[in-house]
Amino acid sequence: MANKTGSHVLVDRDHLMKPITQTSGGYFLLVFLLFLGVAWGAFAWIWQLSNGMQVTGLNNTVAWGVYITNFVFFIGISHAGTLISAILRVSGAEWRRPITRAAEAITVFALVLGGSQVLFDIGRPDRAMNVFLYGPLQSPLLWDLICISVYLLSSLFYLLLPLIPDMAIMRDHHAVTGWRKELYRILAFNWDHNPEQKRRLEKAIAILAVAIIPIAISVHTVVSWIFGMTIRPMWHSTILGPYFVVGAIFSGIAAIIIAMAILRKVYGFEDYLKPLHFDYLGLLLLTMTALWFYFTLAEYITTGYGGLLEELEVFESKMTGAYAEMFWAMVIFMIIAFFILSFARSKWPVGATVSASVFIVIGMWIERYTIVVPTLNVLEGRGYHPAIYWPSWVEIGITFGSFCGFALLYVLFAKLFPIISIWEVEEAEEALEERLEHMKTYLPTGTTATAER
Amino acid sequence: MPDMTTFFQTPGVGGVIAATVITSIIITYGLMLRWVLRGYEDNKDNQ
Repeated sequence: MANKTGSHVLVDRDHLMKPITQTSGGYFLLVFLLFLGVAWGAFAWIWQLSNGMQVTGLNNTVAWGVYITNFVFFIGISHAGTLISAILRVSGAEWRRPITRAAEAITVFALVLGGSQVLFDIGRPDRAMNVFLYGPLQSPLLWDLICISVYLLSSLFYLLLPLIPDMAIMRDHHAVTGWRKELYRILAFNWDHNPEQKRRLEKAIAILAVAIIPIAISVHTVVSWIFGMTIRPMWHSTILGPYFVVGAIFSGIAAIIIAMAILRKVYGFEDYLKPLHFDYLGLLLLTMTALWFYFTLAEYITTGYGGLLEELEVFESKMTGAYAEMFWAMVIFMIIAFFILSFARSKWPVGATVSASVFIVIGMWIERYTIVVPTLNVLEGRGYHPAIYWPSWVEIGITFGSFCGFALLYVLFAKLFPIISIWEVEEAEEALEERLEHMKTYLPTGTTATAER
Repeated sequence: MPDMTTFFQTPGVGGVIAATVITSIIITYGLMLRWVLRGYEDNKDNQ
């Protein structure tokens, strides 16, 4: 069917299913390498469990190091799904259609890996249930547990709902056989593409899209309160909640841009993930970069100007002390990203946004580190100066394993499920017609103008 | 009047509230899924 502009939306189902129906040798190699990375991480964790926390760089002063940095980082990355899928859906941005699934999957896997970091940090994961059994309600740790659990459940459901029509398409596809056909049959929940089911599905997705935005914001606000509710220098700040949320959305967009670029290259999705998508996301990223600079400046200039002794000690450790290299590396990475997005994005939308995203993702991990560690390391510094915290091979191993685990889950997901939502892209043409009609209601039309004249 | 501060500080109360919130969310999403999937039957009934 042609729309009123005379052009067609062409969806090649076989092409979109190619990652599922065809497997190259390179795919097996990638899975094997990622599995090796996860195995190394698992070995490091077993080593830590067997020998105690002494094998890490953590100590009485710095009890939250790389693990909690990873926790905050992964929870931040998880905001990709919320922004791309929910906010763009609520605002009616039609260009979101090919990228929603990829973004929603990032959310779920990032939350799983983020939550795992807490288990690595507590040293005795068998006591994890104590948070439920003995946790007092006034503890931000319990608020965090509630928020993250609700967010994980909501994100899983938000990933599952739009998957159902695609599962029915996969179930009925001739190239799908064996156990996978059975899996799609179960996950299709007897879906038969009837209009009433579709109407209800779209309504449920719309409700969930609205609900998930405040849930996501609450998650990163409460993550920041784990730090902010303690009376510690450069943590006890009212700006920390919004600062964390901005950073989370910022790193989330960067993560989805990198994932999209890889999917586009590996599976040849150039017709679906176009330079325009990268350009639009790059523009969003540029806005978030500016916001991030604003919040960072506001946070640091207030602390530096105020000059409270305790805060100055942490402040100086970041500006000129032990953490200065990391802090300034972060700032330089963000400046580079800002200039790439400002001046190279429109000419090379894909290359520019992807390279800026790499700088941003690394920069945001460093940002999390420079928030978590210096306050702990310097706090006890008055009177005596503990050794500067540095992660051991165990923490580096578990961190590497976690990132490999995140990538492995994503790669396996893309192997089992369509990473581009088939039915949502197919429905774009219908939506275009509706949008055109809707636009006519608020734009001056020839008929009205003639009548008034 | 019972002392609410002491009540909320009691070990376990927070866990019960957390478990209640999480269970409510699971039930809500379950009901939502059921409503979406029953669209087929309701459609047949209307016809």
